Amino acid sequence: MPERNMTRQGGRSAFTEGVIACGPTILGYWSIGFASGAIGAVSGFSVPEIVLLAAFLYAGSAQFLFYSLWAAGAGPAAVALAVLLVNIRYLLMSSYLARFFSGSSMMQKFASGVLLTDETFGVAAQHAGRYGALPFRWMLGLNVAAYANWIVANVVGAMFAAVIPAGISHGLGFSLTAMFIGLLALNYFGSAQKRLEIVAMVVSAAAVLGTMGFLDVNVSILIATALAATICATALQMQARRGRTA
Amino acid sequence: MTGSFLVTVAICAAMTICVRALPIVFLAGVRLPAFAMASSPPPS
Repeated sequence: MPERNMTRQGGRSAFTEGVIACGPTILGYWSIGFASGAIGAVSGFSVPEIVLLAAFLYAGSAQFLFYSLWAAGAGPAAVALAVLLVNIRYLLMSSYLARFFSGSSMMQKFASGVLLTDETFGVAAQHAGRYGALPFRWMLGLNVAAYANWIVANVVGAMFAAVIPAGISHGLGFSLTAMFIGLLALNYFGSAQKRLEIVAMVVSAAAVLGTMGFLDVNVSILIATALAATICATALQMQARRGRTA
Repeated sequence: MTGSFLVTVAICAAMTICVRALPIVFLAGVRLPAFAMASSPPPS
């Protein structure tokens, strides 16, 4: 099937479909981006610095970390290492999506990966699960919509930091958690393997709770992801083997 | 905006780009073991 027709619905282009697919996450980008920009301004960063960070880091948790470490006087090496640790989860997301780009050019693969976020990964993984493909133009629409909203939300947050109470701007940080709960619920209700989804949730939650007391929470999340993925993949293999022998 | 700030942003950006884009660039089209592919159907 030609790529350009793969996601066409009602005459819309794949790019437009990608932009529309970004819709459910826009509110999340705005609330976290707004909080990020506001916290950056409150921490003493100028609007151009906040825009630079939003454009080049393009990751809420890494930006929050950057602001707090830099404001506390940490050196470039410490900040860079912390940002790497927080962002290392993208290795797993990007590796998962790689299989859907086997027919793409090097530039298309790079462009699709460089703007990957937790939210676009969630939306792209759902699309890939449903259609078995990730057309480049669809992914571009998704990424560009998310990126543009993120930058604008950061700028607006930085500019309005002076007029909103600090408690509200800090409280917006919880919207990140709320959005992921929403994405998880969407994934669960759309899944054909609900029992496996429950196993993955329980195993990963137990792994995080069991290791976060003595490990960094980012390392805990990586261990939980690897453990839950291994157990679920093993269960799927066993199920497939039983199906073949029955 | 100081030089050390710009250098730190550049290093952080380079690392973030690496972890985001390089797996897609280098793993796309690579035949992974069947075990690793068990959780989803192959792309059409």
